[in-house]
Amino acid sequence: MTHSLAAARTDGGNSRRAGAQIPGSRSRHPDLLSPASTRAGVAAAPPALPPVLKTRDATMGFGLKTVLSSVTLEFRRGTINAIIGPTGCGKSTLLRAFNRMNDRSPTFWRRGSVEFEGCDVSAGTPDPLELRRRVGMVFQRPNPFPMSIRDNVVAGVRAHRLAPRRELAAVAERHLRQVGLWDAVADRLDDSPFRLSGGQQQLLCLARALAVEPDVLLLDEPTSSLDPATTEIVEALLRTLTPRLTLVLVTHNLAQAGRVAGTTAFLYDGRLVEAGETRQILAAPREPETVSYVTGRIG
Amino acid sequence: MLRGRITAEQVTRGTLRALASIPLAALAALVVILLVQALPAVRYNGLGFFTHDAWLPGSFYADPVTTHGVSHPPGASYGALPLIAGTLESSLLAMVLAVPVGIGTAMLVVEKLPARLSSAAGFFLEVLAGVPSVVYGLWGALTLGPWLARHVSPVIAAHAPDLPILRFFRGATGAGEGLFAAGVVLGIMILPIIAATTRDLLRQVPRQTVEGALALGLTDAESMRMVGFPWVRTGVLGAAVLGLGRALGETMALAMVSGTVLGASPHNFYDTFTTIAATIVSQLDSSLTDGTGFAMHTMAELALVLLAITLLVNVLARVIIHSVSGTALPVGRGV
Repeated sequence: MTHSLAAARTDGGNSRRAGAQIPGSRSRHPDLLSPASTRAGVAAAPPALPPVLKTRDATMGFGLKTVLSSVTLEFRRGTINAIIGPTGCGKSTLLRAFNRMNDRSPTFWRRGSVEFEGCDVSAGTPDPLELRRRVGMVFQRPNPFPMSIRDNVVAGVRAHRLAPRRELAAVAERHLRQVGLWDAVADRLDDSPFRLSGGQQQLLCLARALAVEPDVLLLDEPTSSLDPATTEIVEALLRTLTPRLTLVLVTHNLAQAGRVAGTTAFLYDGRLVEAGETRQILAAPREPETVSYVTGRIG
Repeated sequence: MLRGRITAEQVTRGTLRALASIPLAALAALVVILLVQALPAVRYNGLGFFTHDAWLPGSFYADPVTTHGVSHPPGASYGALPLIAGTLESSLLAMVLAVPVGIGTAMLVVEKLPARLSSAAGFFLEVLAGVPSVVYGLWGALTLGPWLARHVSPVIAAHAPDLPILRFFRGATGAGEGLFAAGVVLGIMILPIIAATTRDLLRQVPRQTVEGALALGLTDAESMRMVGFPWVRTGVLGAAVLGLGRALGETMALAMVSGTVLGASPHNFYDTFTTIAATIVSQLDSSLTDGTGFAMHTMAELALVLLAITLLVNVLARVIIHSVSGTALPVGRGV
């Protein structure tokens, strides 16, 4: 039932955590979620850090409906990780478990653990507000706030009091530059963001998410409403965010997973079917369901 | 066959056009009739109508006199200043009370209450909006007014500092009929309008936008203040104007709670007063007994003034909303 993703780690540092909790691990595919160390060879791998995000036997749903069953997964620091699968497979629910956005629904329930930096996200340390600052989120459609472009970027900075008032303009500029939007909006920072194009709005939302200096960015199909050219810009930007940030990217677009993600997890019907290095998942999937999905027979 | 269909199309279009022009025609007829009726009063009362306090219908039993070609009872002298001031003051007080409470109620209903409680609260808001104004008036005159005069007004009067403007809140607190009680009753009457409209607007804020704020680590309250409310700001302004329109024109409740004192402005916050609408309804009977018809012409002039104030408020609101929506807010732009 439980499909291991993180598989058995041959590197010692992690076996402490990994050993007990991952049934059915495939020892012949060591360290699936650390492409960097795989490429470099296990011996040369940096001392294994504990994963930033991790679920263990996580089962969750809403009311009587079980959306995810026994998902065990982990994401290493500084990596880009894709979650793929057909509509309704539980990708977004899994993503939203990490920043507790599911908790907004009164009928949401969960068993098993979902951890951020070794602590269950529901444990209260960090509290939900700080958790959401450190585990940021970008949504499917651009969702700028009804305030000026500059205020949009620093909305979170202001709420968390991360910078004194006089530095807010500089913070806004820094993050607008980071997402490559500065030249386009420099002369209209006080204007409404709703006049920007969809792609620019999404970049603005990225700048807003980055401005609170998160450790993790959860991206819920961030380019599905964008044209190919803008998608390319966003993807290039995502690659620049590592290794400082850890990215978890839910996507419908297999090619996108192939372009940006080091590891990919395939969810189907609420189960984690297979996870590992993106190249392997896309080119040589092991499970029949994964094969069907990546070849376009399901989904 | 085709010809028949074309004719049917033309008939439909013509009928719809005729139906669509009914509101316009009704408004035009209303304004024309009011103007014609008010003209003699405008000519005789002159600008003094807006500047003095006296309200003297003159002697209906003496022979009529003719001034500037207008026939009127001798001694007739009308000043609408206290009425106009009373209308504006009571509506202003109602707005000061109802706008913050209404917005707060709407935020609470949308954001904090569980679904079932929220729909119950919505139901009560609608019931409250549908209560006939005469019921509010009776309650205000019999219960709320005296209660305010006994328990609230003395406290305010005792603590208001003896400074210009604020001095208005000092002095005798009366028995319950007056500006303060009328403002509170009016406020309660327009509260459901503002709260229900604001609630409907807040429900239109896209879920993704609110979630965007929460996902950034903002609290529910911060997300409401920084995202939810700004999203609907112009719409809420429209809701407030809707409420103001009702307050300005409210008649029965004010006729019952204001004390309908003619010919004098209120001395303080608690004093009896009257409004344009309340005066028209309370003076209608005696005006009909004016054989020259001049009192009725004055009523028409009053009605015209009230119409002008209401239109002015609406136009002003549209101008404000238009300037605010320059930031291109996505919803709630209209009044």
